[in-house]
Amino acid sequence: MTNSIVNRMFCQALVLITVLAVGTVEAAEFVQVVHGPKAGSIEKLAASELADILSRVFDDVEVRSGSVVARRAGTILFVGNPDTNPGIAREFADWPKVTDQGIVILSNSEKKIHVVGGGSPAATLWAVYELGHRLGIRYLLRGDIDPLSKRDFDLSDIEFTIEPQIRQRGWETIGAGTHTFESWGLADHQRVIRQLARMKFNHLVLKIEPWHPFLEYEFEGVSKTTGTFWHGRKYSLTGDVVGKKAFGGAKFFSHPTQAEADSPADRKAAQQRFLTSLIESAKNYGMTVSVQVRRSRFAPEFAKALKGSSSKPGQLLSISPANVQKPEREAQMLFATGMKSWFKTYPGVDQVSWLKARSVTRRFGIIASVKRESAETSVPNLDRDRTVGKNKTEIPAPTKDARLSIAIHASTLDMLPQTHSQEVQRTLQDAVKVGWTSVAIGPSTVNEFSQDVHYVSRAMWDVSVGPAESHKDLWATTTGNKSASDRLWLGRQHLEKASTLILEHDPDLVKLSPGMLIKRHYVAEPIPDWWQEATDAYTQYLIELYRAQGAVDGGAKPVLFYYAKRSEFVLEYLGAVKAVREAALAKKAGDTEQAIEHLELALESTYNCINTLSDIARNQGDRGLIAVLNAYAYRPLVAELERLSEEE
Amino acid sequence: MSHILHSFRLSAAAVALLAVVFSTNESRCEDWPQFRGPNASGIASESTKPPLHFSAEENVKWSVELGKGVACPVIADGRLFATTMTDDDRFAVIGFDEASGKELWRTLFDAGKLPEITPPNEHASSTPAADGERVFVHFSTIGLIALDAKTGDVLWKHPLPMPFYLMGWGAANSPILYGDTVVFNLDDDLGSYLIALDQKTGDVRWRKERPEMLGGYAVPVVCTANGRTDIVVAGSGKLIGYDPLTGSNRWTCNSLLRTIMSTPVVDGERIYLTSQSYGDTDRVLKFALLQWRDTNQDGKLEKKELETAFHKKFDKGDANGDGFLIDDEIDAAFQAPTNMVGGGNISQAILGGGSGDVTKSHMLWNLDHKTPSNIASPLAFDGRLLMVKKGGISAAFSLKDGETVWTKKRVGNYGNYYASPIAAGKYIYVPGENGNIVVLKAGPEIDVISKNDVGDSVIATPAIANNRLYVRTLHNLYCFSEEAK
Repeated sequence: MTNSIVNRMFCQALVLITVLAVGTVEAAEFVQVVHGPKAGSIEKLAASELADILSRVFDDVEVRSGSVVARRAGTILFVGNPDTNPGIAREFADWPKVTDQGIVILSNSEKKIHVVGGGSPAATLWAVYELGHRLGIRYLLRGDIDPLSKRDFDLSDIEFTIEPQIRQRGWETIGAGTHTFESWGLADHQRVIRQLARMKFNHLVLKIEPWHPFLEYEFEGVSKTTGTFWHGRKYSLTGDVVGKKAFGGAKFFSHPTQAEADSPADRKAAQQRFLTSLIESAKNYGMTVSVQVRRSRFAPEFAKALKGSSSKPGQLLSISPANVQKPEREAQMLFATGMKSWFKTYPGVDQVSWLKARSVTRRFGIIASVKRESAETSVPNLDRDRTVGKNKTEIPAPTKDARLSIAIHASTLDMLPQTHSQEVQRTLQDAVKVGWTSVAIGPSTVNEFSQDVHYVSRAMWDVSVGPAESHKDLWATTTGNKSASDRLWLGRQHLEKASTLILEHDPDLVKLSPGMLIKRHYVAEPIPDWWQEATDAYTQYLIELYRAQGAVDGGAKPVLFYYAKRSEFVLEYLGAVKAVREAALAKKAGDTEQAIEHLELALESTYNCINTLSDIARNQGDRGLIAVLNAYAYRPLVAELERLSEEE
Repeated sequence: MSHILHSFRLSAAAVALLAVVFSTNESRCEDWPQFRGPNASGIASESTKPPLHFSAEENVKWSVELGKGVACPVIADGRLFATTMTDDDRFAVIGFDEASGKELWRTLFDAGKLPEITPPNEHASSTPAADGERVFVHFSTIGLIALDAKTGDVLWKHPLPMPFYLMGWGAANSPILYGDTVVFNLDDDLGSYLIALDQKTGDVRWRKERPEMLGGYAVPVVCTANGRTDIVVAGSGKLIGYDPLTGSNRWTCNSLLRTIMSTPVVDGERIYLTSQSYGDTDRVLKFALLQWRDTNQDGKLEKKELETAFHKKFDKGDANGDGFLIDDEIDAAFQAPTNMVGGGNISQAILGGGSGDVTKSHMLWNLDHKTPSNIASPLAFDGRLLMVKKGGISAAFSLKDGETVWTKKRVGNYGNYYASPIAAGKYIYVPGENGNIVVLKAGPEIDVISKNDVGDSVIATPAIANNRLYVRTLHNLYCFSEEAK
C-alpha cells in the first residue's frame, strides 16, 4: 500500500466520521429575517429588533437579518407589508385590511414562512415588539425582563391582527421638579424612549417650563434670557450631605448639559443639542413629537413687553387679570411668537400644545394643540383656565386636535411609591367610551410607575384589560411563580390603599418644599390615626415585595429589590414625620429633653431615608430627590436640633 | 558522635534564632494578617499611629480602584492582600506593596455560576488570612485557595461545597491561621463545619461537623486559658471551644442567639461576644421561614418554595410525607431540636479554658441591653467593651464586670454599621457604611476627635499597620497616612 492510498483512505474515513457526527447533532434552526430591499430605517430597525428577540427567546437558533433570503434559511420571517416587502406580496396574497396602526402577524407553517408586519413602518415595529411580548419578554421603563429560560424554536401557532383603541399614545416628559425627568440626561431619556417604543407608545410630549433653556426668541424687542433648570434653584453637595456616594464627588447637583459645558455659549449649544437629540430619538422609533408649554406663564423679562404687567423677582410672569390690564391679545401674540420659534428651532416638533382645562375631581387634563402646518396661520385662542366637570365626574367628548392627559400619579406624592390604578382604569375606559383616541400619560419619573405604564400600554390597545390582569401578565410571566405574583398583587393593593389614604387626608403630607419637615410637621397637633394606617399599608407592601423578591430568580429580582428599598425609604420618611410631630408635642409640654430626643430620631430616620435611596439611585431623578431632601428636610432638621440643644 | 550532634543542634538553633532576629530587624513590619487583625481583636500595636484626620482627598498615601468587594484588606510581611470581582464571573486576589500601593501580582479565578446574594453582601466577601509565605482565601463556588504571597501562584485548592442560606444572604466567611494549619469555619443552613488544613499541602488535618448551626459569619478566635489553647467559634445558640490539633469539642456555652454574625473577641483568658438576632427569645427559625419563605402565605412550606439544595432537609422534616412542612416539621427540617434558640440581644463575658457544658460555670456576665449590633463585632480595648450599631448608637461596658460605662450614646454619624471598630494607640476608629469613619479618643466618655469622609460605602473593617490606615471601600482601596503630607 502506497502512502497516497493510505492518505486517501484516512481522508475518506475522516469525512465519514464528520458526516456521521454532524448527522447525530441536531443543527440550530437557521432563521432569516427579511425586510424589503427598499425598506426605510424603521423597518430595518424592526428587522434587527426581531432578530434580537428571537435570539433572546429561543434556544439553538441562528438568526440573520437582511433583505435577501439565504439559501439555507429554514424559517423565514418577512418584515413589513405588501407595499414595502415583495416577499410578503408574493407569499401572502390575503393581506388583511388594517389601518396604518394595525399589527399583522401571519404564518404559513407548512412552508415555515411568517410575516411580522403592519399598516405602516411604525406598526411593523410594534408588531415585532408585540411578538416579543407574546413570546414572554416584558418591557418596563427601566429595561426588558427576558423569559426565565429559553425554549425550543416554534412560531407555528402565532397569528393575529390587532388595532389600537387609542391611536395617539403619548408620553409626557421633562416637566418640572429636581426629582423628575427635568433632571435627566440624554442617555437616560433615550433608554426610556426605547422602552416606550417597545410598549408601542407613538407620541412624545416634551413638557417645557418658561425657565427652561431650550428656546430663545424675541417679542416686542425683548429677548428671552432666562435659561435654567429647576426654576433656577441650586443644590449644594458639599459639607454634611447624606447620600453623597450617589454623586461621584460633584460639588453641586446639576443637569448633565450644565456639567458638560463651561461657557454660557457652550451650555446653550449643549442644551439645544440635548433636545434635538431627544426629538430625533423619538423619531427613530416612528413617534411624533409635541412640545407642551404654559399658556399663561412666561419668562419674567417679557413683563417689559406686556403693557401694565409686572413680575416679582425670581418669579415667572403670570398672565392674569390681577397683574396685566389688557392681557388677551398681547399674551396671545407672545404665545404665538414662542410657538413659531419652537417649530423654527426644532424641525422635528410636530405640534405645540398647552393645557386647556383640568378636571378638579378626576385625574385628567385636556390639552389643545396647534400642528406645524397651521402654525403660521393660527393665533391660538387662549381661553381662560376653566375646570372640567367641577361637580361632575364625566369626561367631556374630545374636540379637534385635543389630547387627554391622564395623571397616573399625584404630583404632591411624587417622592413616594404610589399607585392609583383603579382610577386610571376608570378614566381610560370612560375616555374611550366618549371617543377619545389621543391620550397621554406622564408620571414625573420612573420609580414604581413601570407597572402602571405597563398596564396603560396594554389597555391602550384593549381597554378591557385591567390592572389586575396586567399585573398577572407582568409578574407571573417574569417570575414564573404564581404565588409570588399573587402576593405582589396584594402588595399593590396595600400600596394603593396607602396612596389613597394620604391623598384623601393630606395630599401635601410629603410635598417637596423648603422646610418640608420642620415647617410643615413641627406643630403641636395630635398625630392622626390614619398616619399609622398608611404606615401599616406601606409596611405590608414592603413585606410582600421582600417575600416575593426572595422567592424568585431572573430579571424580576433586581426590580423587586429596587421597589423594596424604595418602600424602606418611604417608611423611614414617615417615621421622621411622626418623630417631628412628637418633638413638637414634647416641646409644647415643656419637655425640651424629650423634644431633642424625638428630633434626633427624626434626624436618624431622615438620614436613613436618604441613605437608603442613595443605595439604589438609578437615575438623575433619584439623585435629584436626594439633593432636594438634603436641602429641604435634612439640613433644616439639623439646624433645629442644634438650636434646641443650645437653648437647653 | 552524640557530642558532635549535640553541638550541631546548638549551632542550628543559634542560626535559627539569629535568622529570626535578623529577619525581624530587616522587615520591621507590623502585620494585620486576617479579618480584624491579630486574633480578630481589631487592635493594632500600641506604637502605631495612623492619621486621625483623613478623607478621599486628605492624607492619602496611595489609593487604587479595586472593583466591588467587601472583604477586609490584610497585611503580612510588607504586602497587602485584597480581593475583588474584576468581572461578573471573575474573582481576583491581588497582592500590593503595602508601603507604595504598587500592584505586585493579581491572580484571577473563574467564579462559575454565582448564587444570588443579598446586598450589601458581595461575592468577594471572604477576608484572606496571610503570613509572609502564603495567602489563604475562601470563595463560595471554589472553596479554599492557597496562593504564594510573593508571586500569587496558586499553591493548592481545596474544593468545598457551595454554602446555602435560607434567607439568601450569601457567603462571607474568613479563614484564620493557627500553627501550621489554616482553620476555616463555615456555618450555613445546609451543612455547617469547621475544618483545619495543612497550610503547605492543603491536606485536611481534621474536620468537625456543626449540625446544630444555622447560617452565620463568626470567624474563629484563639483563646489560651487554663494552660491550654482552644479554637473558639460562635454560632447558633452556642459558643464552642475546640482542640486546635484534633477539632474535638472541649467545651460549650449554651448562651447565644439564633443568628450569629459577629465575631467574639478575646482579652486575656476571657471571651467577649455581643450580638443581636431578630425577634424575641421565642422566635425560632420557623417563624422567619413562615414569614419570608412561605411565598403564598398558606402557613405551610412547600418544596417548591425552597431552593433545590434544601430539598433533602425538607424531606427529613416532612415526616408524614404530605409534601408540606408545618409547625414542628419545619423545626425538624431546619433547626436542630437540641438547639431551638430564638432572637434577642446579648453582651457576654465567658471565661475560656473550660470543659463540658460551661454555660453556668464560666459565664462571667451576661447583659441583655438593646445595645449590640447584629453584624459589627465589639472592641475590647482600654478596659471597656465597645459596641456600635445602626444609627451610630454606641455603648460601653467594663470588661471586668460588665458595669455600664455608657449606653445609647451616638458617635455622631448615622446610618448602618457593618464594619467593626478597631483601635490603635489611644484612638478608636468607627467605620460607618456611609463612608464616614469616626475617630474616638479612648476613655470613659464618648470623645469624638474627627469624622472622616472617604466618599464611598465602607462594609469591610479597615486594617492598621505601620502607622497607616487601610480602608477598603465598596469600590476602592485607600492607604491613609501622615506620610502623605
